[in-house]
Amino acid sequence: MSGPHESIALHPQSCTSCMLCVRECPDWCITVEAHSEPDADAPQYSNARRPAMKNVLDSFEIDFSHCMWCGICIDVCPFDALHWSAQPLAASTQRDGLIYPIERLIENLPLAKRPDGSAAPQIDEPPSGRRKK
Amino acid sequence: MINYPGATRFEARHDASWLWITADSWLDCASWLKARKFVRCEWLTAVHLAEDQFQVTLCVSDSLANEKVLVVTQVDQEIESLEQIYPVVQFHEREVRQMLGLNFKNATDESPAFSADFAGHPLRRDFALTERTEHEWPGQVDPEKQTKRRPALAPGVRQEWL
Repeated sequence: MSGPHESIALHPQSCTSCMLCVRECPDWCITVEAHSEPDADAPQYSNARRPAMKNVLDSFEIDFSHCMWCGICIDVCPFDALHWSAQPLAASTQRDGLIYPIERLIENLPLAKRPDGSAAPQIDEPPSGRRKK
Repeated sequence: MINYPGATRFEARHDASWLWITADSWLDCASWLKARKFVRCEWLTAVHLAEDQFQVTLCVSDSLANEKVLVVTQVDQEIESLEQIYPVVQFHEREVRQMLGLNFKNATDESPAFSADFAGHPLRRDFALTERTEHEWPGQVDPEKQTKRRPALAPGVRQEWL
C-alpha cells in the first residue's frame, strides 16, 4: 500500500514534461509549462540530422481546489515523478492558496510513498524511474 | 436479503440486495417492497446512458435503516412516479427531472428542485459544461513545439464544446 493519500508530491528531476498527467486529469487541475532545449549530455553523432533535445520543466502547478484525489496523474506518470504523500494538505483562506507550484509540491516528498510502500526519491536524489538524467 | 419475484437479476453486495427489474414492474416492485418491511425511501437517482436511455436506481430500507434494497431499472424518456407509495420520493424525482430531463408519469409537483432560472439538464451526456467551453484545456501545451499528425483532444469533451 502507498500509505495515506493526503496530497500529491512531485519529484521534479524525474519529470520529463510529457504532459500525460495534464491530459489525463479529469478536472483539468494540472498546469505544466516547459520548453525543449538541446541536450548537452546526449551522445554526439556526426551523422545526426538534428540535435538531441530534452524537455526542461519551467512550472508545474496542481490546483487542489479542483483536484478530486482520483490519482490518475500518479497512475499514468511513466517516469514516477508523481507520488501519493501522507503530508496533510493545509487549508487556505484564499483560492490561490490551494494552487501548489513546484516549491510547495516538493515539500510533500518526505512523506511520499511508492505504490509498493517504499519511500519516494527525495529532492536531493537522482530520478529512480526511467529518466536517468 | 430479499428478492422480488419479478426481478431479472439479483445480487447481494455491500450489505444490500440489488434487484434489476424491467420498467413495467417499477410500481409493482415498489409497492411489493413497501408491503414488506421496506417503508423508508432513502433516495432515487438516475444515470443518463445514451440518447434517451436512463438507468434509474431506487434505494429503500427498513424503518431502522438496517437492511437496504436497491432497485435498478432501465427506461427511455418516461417512468412511473412513486409518489403514491413513497411520498418523500417527490423531491428526488424533481431533482432527477431537472438534472437529467427524465419525465415522471403521474407526478403531482413538476416544479424544478433547484434554481428555476437554469436552462438545460446538466447531468445529461450531451450537456456542454461551461467550465469546459470557457477555459482552455491545459493539455494543449506542447513543449516540443512539434506539429502532430493528430492534435491532442481533451478526453470526455466533445469537439463542438471547445
